[in-house]
Amino acid sequence: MDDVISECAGISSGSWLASLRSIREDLKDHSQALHDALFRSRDDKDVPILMRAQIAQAVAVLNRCAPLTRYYQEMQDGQPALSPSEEARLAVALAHARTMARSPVAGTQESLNTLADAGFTTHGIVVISQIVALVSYQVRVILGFQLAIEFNGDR
Amino acid sequence: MVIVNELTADALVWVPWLVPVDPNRATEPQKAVLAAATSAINPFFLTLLHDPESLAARGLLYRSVMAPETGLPPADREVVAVNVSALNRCIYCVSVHSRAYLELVDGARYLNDLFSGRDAGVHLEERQAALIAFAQNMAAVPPKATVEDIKRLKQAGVSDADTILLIHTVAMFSNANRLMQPLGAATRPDPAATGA
Repeated sequence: MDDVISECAGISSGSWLASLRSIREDLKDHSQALHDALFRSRDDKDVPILMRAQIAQAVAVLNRCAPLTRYYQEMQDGQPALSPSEEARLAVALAHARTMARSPVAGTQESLNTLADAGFTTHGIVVISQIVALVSYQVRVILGFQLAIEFNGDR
Repeated sequence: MVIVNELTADALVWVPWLVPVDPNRATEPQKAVLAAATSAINPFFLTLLHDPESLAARGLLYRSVMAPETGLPPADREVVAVNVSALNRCIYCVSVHSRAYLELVDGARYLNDLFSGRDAGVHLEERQAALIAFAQNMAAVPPKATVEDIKRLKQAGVSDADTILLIHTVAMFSNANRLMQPLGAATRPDPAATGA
């Protein structure tokens, strides 16, 4: 998928929203580039892609964004299974991600220490934070586009 | 170090919870991002530099959203930034963007009322009120904006192009607040450290 936001928002090519969006190709391209920076497949022991997709899915779920939830669910297909120790880390990361997605002010030094105690490196903690922040961004751009389409019709 | 928990337009200092990257000990990918940086190399930047790829990509996105020549009109952009950040209680973001807002408009009474939880809307014209209502509904978790919010923007004379920019601005601060607030603390500058 070249443009996760357009696909999830249901922007058809040639529609008024697609042409409006093309005025600001930079926003579209940079949104996708940040997504790619976090989800492009690579060998990362700190936060494997499967873990990243599950964290992202959890944030999409609590923001009730069905198409993005499905997208991150599908991203998990075919990924190597997590080891028992990675599963344990994932549980801590998911709890943290849900809290941050809901209420950033709940983030404290202790909540980061919880991640470190679970075995995440500083790099891993930054990756998890960027994923929570990115998905919080994506769900809102997607909803905004969906509402614009609903208001104007998909001309 | 005094951590600030209340909304304020005072200048604050952001202190990271994680140990930032030491530029002298940066890896090659981190050095490349440092060399290409167009924003300030501050503790926030050096914290996110632990994952250089996402930092570089996010920097480009942020600049696109905030670009003064092509973004939302600056006063609109800043008042939206303040409102989203206030809702998320990102103290540092509120402080930075409140001061940016006050440089553009005479908004001290508006911010005072907003910070103290009074009805700040009385200071606003309908265009800004519509932008802020949309921003607050969109920033909620889960977001609760509806087509009625879009209708109100239209009726207030907000163009389709500005609506698209507004959507990105709210989303960008929903993003920023979730990095700035959890990864560090807003503090009062230490008077002892500011001496000449």
